[in-house]
Amino acid sequence: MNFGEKVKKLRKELGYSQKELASNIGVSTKSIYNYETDNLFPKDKKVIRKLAEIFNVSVDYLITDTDNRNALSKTEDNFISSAKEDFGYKGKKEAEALVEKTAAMMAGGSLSEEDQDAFFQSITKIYFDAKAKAREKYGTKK
Amino acid sequence: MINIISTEVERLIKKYRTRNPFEIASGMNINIVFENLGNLKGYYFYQSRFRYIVINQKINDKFKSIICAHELGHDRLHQHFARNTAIREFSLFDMSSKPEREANLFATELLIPDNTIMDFAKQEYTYEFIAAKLDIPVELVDFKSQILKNKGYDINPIQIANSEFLRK
Repeated sequence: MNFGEKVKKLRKELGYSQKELASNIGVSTKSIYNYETDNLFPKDKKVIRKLAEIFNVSVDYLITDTDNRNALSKTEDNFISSAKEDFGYKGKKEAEALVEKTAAMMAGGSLSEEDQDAFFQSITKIYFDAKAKAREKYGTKK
Repeated sequence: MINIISTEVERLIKKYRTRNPFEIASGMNINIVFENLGNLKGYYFYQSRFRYIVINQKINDKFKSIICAHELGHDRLHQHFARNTAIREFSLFDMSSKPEREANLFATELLIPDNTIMDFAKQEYTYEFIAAKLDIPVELVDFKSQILKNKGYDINPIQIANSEFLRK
């Protein structure tokens, strides 16, 4: 499945019309129509992220032609995508390493799923905080 | 190792003129963050040359100090480790791993002055009684007694440190 087909399918799953989805995302109905039929990608990456959020899938799932929705968990996947978007290749590597570290730590199984989510949310937030501080202090380039 | 921990704690207390782990941490430019962490107590995290002590916002103030002191111990003793591989803290009083044991000893040494415990110990109170009196987990009394013994005080540690009742 490609991007357009996925948008259409997921939109119908939610029971949204093109118009409803458009107003939820903040784009025109015609844009949604274009994504679905011509398989056009939104110009603004934020739109893709919003779509992923509304559909509750990962950004990677939306933009790649695979059908595997659960390769990585959506949260982890989105974290890696945003790190890549904000900090490039290095950010992506860092994010992947962080996901791996947390996974290793969770492997003991003593943490409930809820706690794991809370922890992951916290650590990603702190990661972005550190990167923002580093950018401000050391002028780290993109 | 206990000697190294005692020396480092003494140095920090002298330098920052306090035993308050929050004041020492901020003096050292460590970021302290309070977050919703579910049932986790806290963790230590190093990223892009910034250090973080993250503490569960839900736990009580006394425990927040203990966790802060414990994570500060990781910063002082295991920063190299945190830089490369680990994010720490799930089981605060887990003594099965060496870094946990060391961070616990560090926290205890920072939070509890020698004579506080010795004054009680001379009167032969039980560790549970001392812990209740000082309003601290009984593990801390035990850790401190191990340190005191190492310093040459006349005291017998009870070595209950493997207890997991505070894990949750």
